[in-house]
Amino acid sequence: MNKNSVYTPSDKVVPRRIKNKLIIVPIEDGVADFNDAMFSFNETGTKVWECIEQKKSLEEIISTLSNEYNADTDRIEQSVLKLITTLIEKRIIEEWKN
Amino acid sequence: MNKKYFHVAGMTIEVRSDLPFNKNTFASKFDAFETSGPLEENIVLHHHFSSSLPLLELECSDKLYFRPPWAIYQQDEQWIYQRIKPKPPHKNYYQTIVTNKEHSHLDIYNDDTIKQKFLDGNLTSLTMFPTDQILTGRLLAYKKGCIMHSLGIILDGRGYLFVGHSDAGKSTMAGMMKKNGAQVLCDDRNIIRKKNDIYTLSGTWSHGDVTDVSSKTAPLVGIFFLNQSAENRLEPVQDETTVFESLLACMIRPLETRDWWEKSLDFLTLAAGEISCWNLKFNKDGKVFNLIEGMSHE
Repeated sequence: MNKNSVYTPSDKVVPRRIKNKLIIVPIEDGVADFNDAMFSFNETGTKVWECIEQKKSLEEIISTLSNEYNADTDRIEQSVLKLITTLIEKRIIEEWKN
Repeated sequence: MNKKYFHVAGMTIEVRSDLPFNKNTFASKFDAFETSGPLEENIVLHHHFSSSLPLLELECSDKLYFRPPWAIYQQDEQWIYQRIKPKPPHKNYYQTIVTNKEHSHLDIYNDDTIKQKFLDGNLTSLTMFPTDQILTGRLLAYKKGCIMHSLGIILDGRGYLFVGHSDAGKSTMAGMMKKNGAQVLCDDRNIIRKKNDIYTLSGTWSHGDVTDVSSKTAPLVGIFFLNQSAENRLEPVQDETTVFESLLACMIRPLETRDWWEKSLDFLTLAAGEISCWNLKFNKDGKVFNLIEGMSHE
């Protein structure tokens, strides 16, 4: 995965914030179990999502989270890459082609 | 002009037709909803009949939805719905509908097949779509509301909604509530709206096994998520995310376009934080009524 890559929310999802939780709702039909298709973010995931909305590159996202949480950069990087991979697989985000 | 009015969820649907109505035009389930004139919120459906559907220039339109048997286009301030054939080139047949953005005025152009259905009578939908939920579900998004797969009842003037998919026990619950004096609004599809800062519950004509339907509206006091169990028990659901997800799972989703989703999710987000909700475990001994009645006295 290229760290200069920028991702953007898919036009097939609608995010909604309920209290402090971010939920991503797929807006294609034909989903067998709708609840399973929804995606909820924890606090860190929500931060990643905000970075994605701000069109930050993968490198910038990792840097933002490292500064925010003052944690080991390698661990942050692994977590971010894992989440980004999941979001791509679930077609929640896609690579942004400027 | 041939006109009939039907009252649902605090508004009227004015059905106009180029052909005259007779007493058997619409199925008897609509009898409870027919009324004499328009309310302030009035939706106009005008049925036109012709051997050929209007030819529309759609090349410059935004295609918002395309999934046979339906296609939706947006052109200027108008929305165009076409019933289309399943196979390419997806020829338009049966009906073409032209509506304003708020879906408050629909011109429905019907071909000869639909004309014959109109003449045969006993129609099960006012729109002559396969279900009126295609219209009402979309329309309600513009009116802070939605249709829920649910049982709705009125008890002591207060509205209660029991939410659950097929086989969740809605019709069973309807029977137990009715037996104890509650009024059933509808045992399968009900409408919740937020109007003048108050949540309301209204019945629809889309019933399940229980044919009782009512056009009444009551303040919505509580929503119960149905769980068949060995016991009768109420547990409050305070986590808004859980409420949101449970409501979303049972919200009727007609021809979803992005703007419909955004409006509907805005409404559900609000509702999840403002309506009291409970998990309702129940068995079939009928004592669950006492739990609900107890709430109506609080």
